Amino acid sequence: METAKAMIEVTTQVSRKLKQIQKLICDPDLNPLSKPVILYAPYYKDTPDQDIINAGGYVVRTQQDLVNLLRQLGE
Amino acid sequence: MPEPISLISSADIKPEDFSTFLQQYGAILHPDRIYDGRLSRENLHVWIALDNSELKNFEADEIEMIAQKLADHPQTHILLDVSQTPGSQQLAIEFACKFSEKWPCVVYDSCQKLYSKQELFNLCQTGQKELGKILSQ
Repeated sequence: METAKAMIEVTTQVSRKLKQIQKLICDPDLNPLSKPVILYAPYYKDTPDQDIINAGGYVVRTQQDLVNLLRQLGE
Repeated sequence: MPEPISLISSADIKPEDFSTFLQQYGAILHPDRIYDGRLSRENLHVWIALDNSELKNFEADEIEMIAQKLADHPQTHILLDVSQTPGSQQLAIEFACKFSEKWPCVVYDSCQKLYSKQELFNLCQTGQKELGKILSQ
């Protein structure tokens, strides 16, 4: 989904979302305004979490963390 | 967004060999800066990447289970990002079956269910429509 300030990918997966997040970050057709990309993934593991962060994305696991991050991003 | 499925092999597959395989299979090579290939049939799509870095994200018990099923240590991880359109899973499994004819492998689906090469072939033969349901459960 997309908000005014961010792209949000929601998943119940525990890993293997890096390529999709990289594509959302890099692909101008999917993200023409280069909005920050957030992975909302309650069950995501710590190690792949670092891969997402290193790629330039954000990972949040709770609704509150998502709300807080969106506020930080100016939502 | 697409659903991730892993093809895990005990063979040390080189990127150039995998690209040749993708090309021979009829995949579109390098459809973007992220993936190595894409399979498309009308509105069904599977994005493919050789990405061994994902192996480190499996837990020790998962690696052990995979190694048991493979009867060898996993060395190569191929990510299949399968579009949500019904039928796309079938594309992915047909590809996995062809891959397994060339390299020893298992399939680890998005529900952490593991399929041996034989189970993969059985599923392909006994109803590819059902397979999509199984993989997307």
